[in-house]
Amino acid sequence: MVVDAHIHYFDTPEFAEKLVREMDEAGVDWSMLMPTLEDSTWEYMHLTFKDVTNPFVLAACRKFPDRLAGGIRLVPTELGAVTELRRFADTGFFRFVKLFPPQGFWVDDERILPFYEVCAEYGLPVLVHMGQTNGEYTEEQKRRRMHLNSVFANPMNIDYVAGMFPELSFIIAHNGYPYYLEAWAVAFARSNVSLDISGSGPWTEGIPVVYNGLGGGAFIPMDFSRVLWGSDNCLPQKESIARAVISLRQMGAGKKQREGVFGENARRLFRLP
Amino acid sequence: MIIDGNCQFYGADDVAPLLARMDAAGIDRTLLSASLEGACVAGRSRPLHGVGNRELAAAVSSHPDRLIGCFHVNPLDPGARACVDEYADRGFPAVKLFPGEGYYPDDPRFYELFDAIQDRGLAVIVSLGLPGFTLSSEPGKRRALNSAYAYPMRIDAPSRLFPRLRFVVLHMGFPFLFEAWSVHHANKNIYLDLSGSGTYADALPVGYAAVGGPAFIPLDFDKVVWGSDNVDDPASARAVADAHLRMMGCVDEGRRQRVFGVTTARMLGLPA
Repeated sequence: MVVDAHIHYFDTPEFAEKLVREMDEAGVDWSMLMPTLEDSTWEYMHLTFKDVTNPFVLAACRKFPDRLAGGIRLVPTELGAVTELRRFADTGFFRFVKLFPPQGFWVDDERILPFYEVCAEYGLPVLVHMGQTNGEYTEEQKRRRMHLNSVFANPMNIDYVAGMFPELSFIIAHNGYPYYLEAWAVAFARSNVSLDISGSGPWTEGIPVVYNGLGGGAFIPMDFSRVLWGSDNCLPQKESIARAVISLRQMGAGKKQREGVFGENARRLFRLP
Repeated sequence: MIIDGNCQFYGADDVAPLLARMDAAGIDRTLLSASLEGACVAGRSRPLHGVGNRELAAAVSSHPDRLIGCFHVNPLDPGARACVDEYADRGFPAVKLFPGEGYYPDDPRFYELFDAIQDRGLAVIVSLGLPGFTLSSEPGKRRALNSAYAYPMRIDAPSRLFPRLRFVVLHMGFPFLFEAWSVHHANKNIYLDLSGSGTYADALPVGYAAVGGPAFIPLDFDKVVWGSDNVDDPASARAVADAHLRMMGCVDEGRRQRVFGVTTARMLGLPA
């Protein structure tokens, strides 16, 4: 089984249909599909997003229930977040929760512990963007002082909540680039914390380079059974897999471990059939 | 054109020696920053005194063809906004921030100040990471900078909200190099400074190569500037910085040359 554990919904024509076709070509069985930040831009892709929130992900997952599994993205500090979480979780089409701290919240904020209680109640792993973001709000939003701030995305902030909720799985996206050391350390210390290799450029290619530069497993051993792969819309899935294979080989992952990264680890974590 | 993009003002008595050092090293102009009163710097037997904005303005006005003023402001100071207006009116093209004075640069309380700085077209030179000096204490009044405020990721949000501002991360934020390289890579308006001596400078190519260099985070060398950081022999410091640039993968000579002047002029909005 092959699972793309990190991909965003875009409001481009026939997005879901095209994604499934791409999955067929790349041999991907499941894609874990989550919202994109509304009113944001990905400059290097020349895209601005609007209709990319939870209801749109739900519609896509309803259309392809045996290929797409949803992620609920919420700002957990906002009023009504828990209600919204339950509303979408109850549909049965969502298998994880996505948090994006650069929106301006700390994942270890005491106020959002009840939010995690509900994630644990539903058995929904929490995928957290960690580290540098290159996403951006639109110019109109920025004029209203809306902005992203990567300061909020230090993987060490997961340490506390991972300890508070040992039954809940957390996934550090992008190995926390550029906070690799913090990400690797937290994943080493907390058995309920996984890492994803998703994205492109420094967000992914830096991982094996820095890991080996610092001594690899002699520095911090990596448990490859808690590593996931995701394309993150940056590259075609097939190319993303090819690149990730090399990165994993360079990091010392054997064939069996690599197979786990591309499918079994995600199947187990997200409880896919 | 050679521009020293990072030099601290050590007082009126140091202006003549500074100009002599510039002449000896072939430096055309120096971006001279106001210092913190009471700073204890290497090679000085006494804490710095008479090194603030007013004294700096006098020095710059005496040598406008050689010295470019960079005034200091503490955003927590109620007079910060007036200070920006005053020195922008005097033609200073840059302002210096020391977050170690006890503030985070991404504090929303400073948005209006950044608005003013941006509207005046100024560049922002930020001391991030560990400073290379200490502050003197007086009886009953202890003073120290706090580098916990000075993580480079703290300018990620201001650089996004104020895209016309140009930020310069001094010493590449040593020792917070990963953060400095990352915000530089992710934001078009963040420059890195390659100044200093000893560990502050030597660590840069070594650390960069150790973690894979451009295979980890590619640097845009057209957003890298150089400064002497008050060393006695700026010509040697330049040579060392040139070697460091090569070690970091900046193999094109023309590109390296721009680091020593043209890029700083562009960043400051000066005629090339």
